[in-house]
Amino acid sequence: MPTDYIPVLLFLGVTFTLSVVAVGLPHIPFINPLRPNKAKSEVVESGKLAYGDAKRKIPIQYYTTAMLFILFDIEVLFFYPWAVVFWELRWYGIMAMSVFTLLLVIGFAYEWRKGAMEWD
Amino acid sequence: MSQEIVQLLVDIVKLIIIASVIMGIFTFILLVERKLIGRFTRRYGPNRVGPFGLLQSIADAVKMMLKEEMVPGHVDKVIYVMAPGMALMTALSVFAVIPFARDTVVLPLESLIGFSVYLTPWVADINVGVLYLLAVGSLGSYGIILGGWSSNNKYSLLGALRTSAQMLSYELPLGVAVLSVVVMTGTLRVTEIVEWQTQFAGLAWIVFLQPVAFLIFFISALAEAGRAPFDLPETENELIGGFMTEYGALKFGLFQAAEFVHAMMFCTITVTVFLGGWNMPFLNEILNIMPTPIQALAPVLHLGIFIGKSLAVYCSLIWIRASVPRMRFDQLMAFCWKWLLPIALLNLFATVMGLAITAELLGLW
Repeated sequence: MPTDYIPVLLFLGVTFTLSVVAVGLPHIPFINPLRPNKAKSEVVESGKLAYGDAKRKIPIQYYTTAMLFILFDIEVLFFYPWAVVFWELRWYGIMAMSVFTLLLVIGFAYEWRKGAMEWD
Repeated sequence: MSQEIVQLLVDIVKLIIIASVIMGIFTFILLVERKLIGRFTRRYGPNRVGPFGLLQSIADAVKMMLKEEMVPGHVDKVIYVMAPGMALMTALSVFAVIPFARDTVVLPLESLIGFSVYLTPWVADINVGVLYLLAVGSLGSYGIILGGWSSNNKYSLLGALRTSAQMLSYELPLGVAVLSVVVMTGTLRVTEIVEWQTQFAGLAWIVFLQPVAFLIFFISALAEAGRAPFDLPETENELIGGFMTEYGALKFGLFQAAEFVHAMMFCTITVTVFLGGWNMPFLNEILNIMPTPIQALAPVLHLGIFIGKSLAVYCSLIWIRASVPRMRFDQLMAFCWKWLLPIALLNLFATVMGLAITAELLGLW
């Protein structure tokens, strides 16, 4: 029933309002004892002067992890509808899902073999 | 006023109360954590503000609110300001589908306004509740990633990257562990999963039937919430504060709050899905033979049991934090991909096979 979701929306509204208030409250000039200076607005990097921008090249493993995640998260997502109707589909569902899983496990084994999960 | 409008207003008030109570419990739990960690390391913990230090968290909150709120010059301003609020909002929103008790309370107001008002012990009872839990629970990483990226600080960026990799990875075993529960109960509705566990006089807790899934879920939840031993996002001895290095005052406080609420939320999910929710073994059976006035107290009892169980699970998190050293990042990722995920998949396979063979033997299908 779509009407079941109305309380969820209301609750999201409540939490949103709470967050906006909490984020905005300290920016009211009356509350905020703002005394900025140059040293305060510098980057905190162990007391040393920061060199360069932080938006730089990052290790490739993070991208690999993200790709692996997308692959397997979609797999898990496909499992959910099947799990709900598991008691109706019976052996047919189990067989179909086994084939599906087998294909993904082959991919998983290949990635493992290729060292996609190694960090050094 | 018509019935719908009154009901809606009552619901909105209820939602505001739920959100405030969660924040209230958060301040209490923060104190419990600091006290317990103190005791574990042979200190007293906070004991100066108020009796037994009970007002410490409130004093901290006031202090954070009154501190200088400065946006540094090198950050991405919009995202920098937005990120803490986003972290808190996503952490709080998950409580929308958690059932806190069994019965809907009817306020008998016929004589006053001509109709009754209903108070449901949950915010919403939706038919994809488990999916909602997992989806919104994993949105929690957004606030952290955006905060770390927008800070334009190398420590923050490293913390955010680690967090994103960790949260993404551990979401998979978490999802698969819950999946084996869904296969057993055959429903995604959270209230029905709790109801399922009241079978056999309330002894059918899923933790007894799915111990492996419970362990995997618990470990992954620790990692998702960024709790020790998986608190790599904010390893203070190598990354200063991780993603919150550049934050101060209330925004820093909001990140802390979001983290604790996130951990609380995983405790409540653990209780709801694996530990029987608001039910205790034999509770319903005992209630049924009690006189009616005591039966009317059932919602309060259920709520108390639910909060008690959640607190117990939270205390185990504190215990783990005090006992286990932090993992190295490559160990963390290897543990997830090479151990948890294969074990979770095997557990799912075993569950499915066990259920199918049992159903075949008993002629259930």
